[in-house]
Amino acid sequence: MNIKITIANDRNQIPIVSQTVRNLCSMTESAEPAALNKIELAVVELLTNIFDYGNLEVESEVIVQCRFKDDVFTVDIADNGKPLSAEQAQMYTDDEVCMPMLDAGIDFLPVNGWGVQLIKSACDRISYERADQTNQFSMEFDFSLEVS
Amino acid sequence: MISFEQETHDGFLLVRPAFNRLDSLVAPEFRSHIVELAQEQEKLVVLDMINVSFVDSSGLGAVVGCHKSTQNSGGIALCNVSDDVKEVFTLTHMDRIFDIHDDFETCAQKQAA
Repeated sequence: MNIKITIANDRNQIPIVSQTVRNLCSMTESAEPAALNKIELAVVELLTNIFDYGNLEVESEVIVQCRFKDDVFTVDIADNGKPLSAEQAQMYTDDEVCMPMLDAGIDFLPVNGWGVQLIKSACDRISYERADQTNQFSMEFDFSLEVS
Repeated sequence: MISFEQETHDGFLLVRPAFNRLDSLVAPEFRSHIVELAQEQEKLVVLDMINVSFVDSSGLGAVVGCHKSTQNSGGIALCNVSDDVKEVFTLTHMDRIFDIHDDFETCAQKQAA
């Protein structure tokens, strides 16, 4: 499987594309239902960040590609928005998942900023590089790993 | 524009979103509607999530924002939450903040107790 989806700079495309990726993954018959939800969630969160913070031009396109090989489903997402800073890139790719401290009380709970953490929780590996004036993310979902 | 069904019960207001995705496209409208309702009724709001099959971080943030804004009237509880939606609450530890009930009956019994 190697499928490429090109989408316009339009946030309304996010549910359509994320559900398409979910359905493509379900066709592999390797993913458990819970894994399908994580894949959809990760795609939604990454596309939302790209559309909200990527400084895309009106006519920009975002390219989503899906591959499946050796029990690993890979979603590559590329956009020609502004490059991530080193700090932002690290936020996506380091192993640390920072969820809110609950002891501080309800008043201190954040109401945003969870997208990257959810992406990191949902996928097994994520990488980022800036190449050819394009942000290139790659998220891997490894179905050979035991579901925790 | 998103729509809701609502029922008034002893001690709480049941609000059932009539849409299936609580995401960044609807989160702001969802939040303002629920906060307005809670402040009008001055009751706990129970969100019946039976129609909602997908929640992202924006949707979760909207629910948390509603809970924070409605503490004086009882806050937010949830029922009929699917496994997929519950997972978002679990991954973010928000399952430790909210009362999440398997079904409406369990939720109603708890509120009556």
